[in-house]
Amino acid sequence: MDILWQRLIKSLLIAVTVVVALVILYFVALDYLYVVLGGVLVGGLYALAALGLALVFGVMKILNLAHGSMMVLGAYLSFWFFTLYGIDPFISVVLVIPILFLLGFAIEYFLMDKVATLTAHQPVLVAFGLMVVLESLFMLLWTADPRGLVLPYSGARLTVGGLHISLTRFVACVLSVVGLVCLAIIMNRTLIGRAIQAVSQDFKAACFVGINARRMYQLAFGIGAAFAGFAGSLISVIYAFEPTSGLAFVIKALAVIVLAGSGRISGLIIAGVVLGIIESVGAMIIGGGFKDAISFAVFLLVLLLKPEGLFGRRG
Amino acid sequence: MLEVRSLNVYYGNIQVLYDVSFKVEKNELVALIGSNAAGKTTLLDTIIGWLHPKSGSITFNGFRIDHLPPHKVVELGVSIVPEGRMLFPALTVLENLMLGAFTRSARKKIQENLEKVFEIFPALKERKQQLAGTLSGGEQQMLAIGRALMANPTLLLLDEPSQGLAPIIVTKIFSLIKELNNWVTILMVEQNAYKALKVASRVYILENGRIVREGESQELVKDDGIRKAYLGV
Repeated sequence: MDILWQRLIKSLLIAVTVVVALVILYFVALDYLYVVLGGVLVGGLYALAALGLALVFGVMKILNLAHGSMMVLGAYLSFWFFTLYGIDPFISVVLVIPILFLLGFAIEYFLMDKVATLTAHQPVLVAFGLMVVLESLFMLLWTADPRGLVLPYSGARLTVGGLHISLTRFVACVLSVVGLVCLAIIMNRTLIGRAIQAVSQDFKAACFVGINARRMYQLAFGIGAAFAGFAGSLISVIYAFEPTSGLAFVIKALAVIVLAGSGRISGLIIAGVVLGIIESVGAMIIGGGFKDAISFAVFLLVLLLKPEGLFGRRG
Repeated sequence: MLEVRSLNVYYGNIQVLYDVSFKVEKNELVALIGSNAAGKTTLLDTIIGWLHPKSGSITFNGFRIDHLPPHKVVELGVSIVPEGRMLFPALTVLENLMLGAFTRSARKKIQENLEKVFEIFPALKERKQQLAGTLSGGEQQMLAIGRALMANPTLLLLDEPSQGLAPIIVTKIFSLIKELNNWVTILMVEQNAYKALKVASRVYILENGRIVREGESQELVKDDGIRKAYLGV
């Protein structure tokens, strides 16, 4: 209980600091406030993108390089649902999530499971191969042209106290946070979540208490893929994407995880928001074309100067 | 209840167990003693299904279990307190116990078994919200036993329950094991031959992967060869 209170107070303090900073910006430099707000909104999405990757890495110790391509797949599926059937991406996401879950489950069951017991780098190579296969598949199905979704309300804005906020970005951010909270609940409050945690802490011990550890791997990989698809659907509404966008996505997700330094969900949210803000402020100063380079720089600087991340422990 | 017949187990190309056969009857407390690298842990790992034998059979209540994975064996009523305890250090005592009752059959009796475990180990009840990694060695061993009991076993496997514990705690753990035997059949492997001979009804001696002696504890304690080799007298 004490730990819970401490955490609550800590997050409240952070929230208050952020609000105060935003209020100061509002009066001092309105331009920057917009940039920072944009960063905050996109940060939620970054955290969501990082979540599935962190889950798979934490449980299976596999760096799933195909995670970004699974996000792109989610984006293409949304694109398909919208252009073929006119289903709004914020609604079709409830279809994309189970599709990607099944796909992830199947990939683990038929592919990863066969190599997971070999050496540590083999699953990574399989993931890399998977990324290449997915990219080729996207090229085949949807051509190499960049795609983007233009919704009837893409230009709509929310106006709060004289501030204009993009509606789609706002909704995407809210849905991201909802997704993050849902996963936190699944992991901490359900039997399956506990079992997945047990497997990640000690594989052999988990088997010994009667957990089917391989099945938990399949579920974890499925959930990871589902959340990749979730993030991809939301991204399709905001950014243009193409078959090879996956690598940039996975690197950005990795930057969030490295910055957070732990797979804990609250840490990922804050790291996502911090990266979002750094990126958009940086883009404003040195130019929008350098956005991805900025997250790379953050990634490298964190590894160099504070390898344990914001919330991780050294060693 | 448990019957192991001509078991041959390998790690890759290296044979660890040679033609091992033994039996555990219902309500017995059987000890397997042997020095380091005698194959004790390998034997328990094979019974629980973590390893599979190259030849030979393991039957539990008449079922062949030698090719089942651990979660199936646990479901049938065999449960293990592994070497080095293997708790989930970042989960609380209560969460560790709850995970012990993961199988379907154990989940039905979860409340009943939890009360029983807290009755046997009152210290665990006091510390149920504490993280398992912060417990003392003796408490961790109690938690490991409690977690295994939550699986509602009819056969309990104990892998070196005295390992890494202070002598006074070892005595306490062994008297608890003796008490547990009133509820559940126990197969224990142990390096501490003196203590094992004291609590067990029957003993097998494992040397370099082979069973070299077996007998009632009272007999073996009197045997000169055993006294020299294992009891240091």
